[in-house]
Amino acid sequence: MEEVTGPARKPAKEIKIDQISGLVLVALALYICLHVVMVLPVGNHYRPGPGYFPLLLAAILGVCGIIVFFSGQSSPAFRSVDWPGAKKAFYIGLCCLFAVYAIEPLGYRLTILIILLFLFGVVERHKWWVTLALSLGLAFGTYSVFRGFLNVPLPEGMLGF
Amino acid sequence: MINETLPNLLLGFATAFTPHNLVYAIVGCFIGTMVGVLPGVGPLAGISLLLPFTFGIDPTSGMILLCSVYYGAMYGGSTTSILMRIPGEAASVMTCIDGYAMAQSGRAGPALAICAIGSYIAGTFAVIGLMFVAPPLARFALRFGPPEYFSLLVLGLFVLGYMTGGSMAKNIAMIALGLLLGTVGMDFISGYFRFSYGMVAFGDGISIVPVVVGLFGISEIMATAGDPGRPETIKPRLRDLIPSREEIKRSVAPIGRGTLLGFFIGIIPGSAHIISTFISYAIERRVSKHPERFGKGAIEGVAGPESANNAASTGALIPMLALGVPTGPIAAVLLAALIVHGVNPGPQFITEQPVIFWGLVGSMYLGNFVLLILNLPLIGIFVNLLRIPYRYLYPIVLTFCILGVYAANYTTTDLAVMLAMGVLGYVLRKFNFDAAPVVLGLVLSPIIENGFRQSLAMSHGSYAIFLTRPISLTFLVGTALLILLTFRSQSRKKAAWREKLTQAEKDG
Repeated sequence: MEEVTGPARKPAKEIKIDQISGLVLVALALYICLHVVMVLPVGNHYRPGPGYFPLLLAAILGVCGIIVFFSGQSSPAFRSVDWPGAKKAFYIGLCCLFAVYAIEPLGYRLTILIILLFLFGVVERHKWWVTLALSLGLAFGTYSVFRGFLNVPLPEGMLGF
Repeated sequence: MINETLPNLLLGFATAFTPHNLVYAIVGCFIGTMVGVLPGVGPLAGISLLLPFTFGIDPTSGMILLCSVYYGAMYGGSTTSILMRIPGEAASVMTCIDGYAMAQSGRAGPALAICAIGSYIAGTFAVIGLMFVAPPLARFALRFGPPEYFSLLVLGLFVLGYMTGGSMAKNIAMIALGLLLGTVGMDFISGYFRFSYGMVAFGDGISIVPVVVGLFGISEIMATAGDPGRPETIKPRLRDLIPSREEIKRSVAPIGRGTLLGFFIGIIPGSAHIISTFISYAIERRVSKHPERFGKGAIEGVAGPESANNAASTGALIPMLALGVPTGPIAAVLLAALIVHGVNPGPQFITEQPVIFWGLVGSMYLGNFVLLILNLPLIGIFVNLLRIPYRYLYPIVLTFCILGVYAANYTTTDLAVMLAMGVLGYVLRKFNFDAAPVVLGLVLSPIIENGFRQSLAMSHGSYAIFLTRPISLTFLVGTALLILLTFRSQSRKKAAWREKLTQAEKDG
């Protein structure tokens, strides 16, 4: 007896990376167009205003976005994108963010010391004495060379060191 | 001309060979090579970092130091490209493809040697060109008005979009993004603030340093720090550096072509040294009897772009020294150094400041020789730097990125821009976009916009001005041909060299 099979299930359409890229580019282009039209004088061909060139570029960006979107059928699926080092990338981004807010109030040495202690000790789990030696050496060493020798005015911070 | 040049050159050598200038040249070359070798620290950040140090010394020594760092970084960038497939600076991107493939097949030494020899030859010939060809070339470039500059830059950007592997639409989108980033800040014609959102720090626009360090430094660290499959660094022995007779024979013509190409492209405004490497690679591939070897370790793919890169670095100084017009961010920093020292750059510079100009020329000969020594017998020292495990190295590189970016303008806004660009660069990698066109767009944005708006003002709003002037028309015809070529290769579904190049980049 023959087995009765149902209709073949159509594979679910996966969104591709270039389709996402295309959409992001178009969205960015639209935002720029709106911003320019609302905030900047565009001018005309005779007297191009400050918004003229950005508007032209936004149009090019949008057209490229549409091309990328429609030619993106053969690109890899978004789900297939590999993010092996995303956790470390996040930590590195976090360190940069910390530097943005801490370098002036805490000073160069303390900010870099904290960042290096975190990266060497917590993220990379080096031995404590390696972590301490490298962090202290780099934070104070680079400060001495650049501030003392090269006269680069690095921030002292509110603690004065 | 010889009668005039030789005494000046002797003056230059006499200046360059004074003990303190000799030390500055050697120290600059050493620092520059380290800057080029270390991933994430480019020549721009290196020169910017060293700029304050030159304030206390005389202008000739200061320029010699900064230019030596520049050359050193150009030389050093090839080391990481070949040994680790990480370009030390953007102009070494093309060297990665075949240089790393050679390293994988045990030919890292000859690749490094050909890079150093090619760079030395190209650098030396470019200095000769700087001496003899600069005045007539500068006069020719002076014929360019805004429409010519605009059309030339459009052609340059399309060449970049075409020569870069992958989708041309993606590359053009990245160029447009870079150009848009370049519009941030005060519009110098109308005085309007664009996209600055009330932030004073954006008034002068987005600085190139945080963008470059973010896109190429931070994103590199982000992408590589957690990558378990990071390639081991190969340490070639001194005797392994000697290329075979066949490799030397195959490198001669690419070095010659790269030198000529790089030198002449270098004069054109823009990040020409990067473009010259792309064009050189494309030409070598086109003229090769075995284009299939490209991407798999063809020494021509190393010799040509590296020579072009170094020749372009010297060529790029011509408009800066002869006309006072910087052709890119590095030349702009060097120009700023001259101004800080009270030197007036411009057409009178060479006649008014012969000691600085000819001292610099003399130091270039010396610098090229010093770099040949640094990059061949001392390669082991720089390779040892690369052998430091990345889990030790990346926090150090991050420290220098933060330090370099902050020290450029002493503002935390630049650090925020660096972070944003780092994240953008990381995401762009994942979505198969190339970040290099963003930087080029950012650098060229003010020149291209001024050219565009001034042209329209000249023609009372008529776009025909770009087509009625012969030089401008020639550049635009070139652009149109490139666009047609792209459509042709796509419509025929042929495995065009651009797709092969993309594949080579991925495989490499």
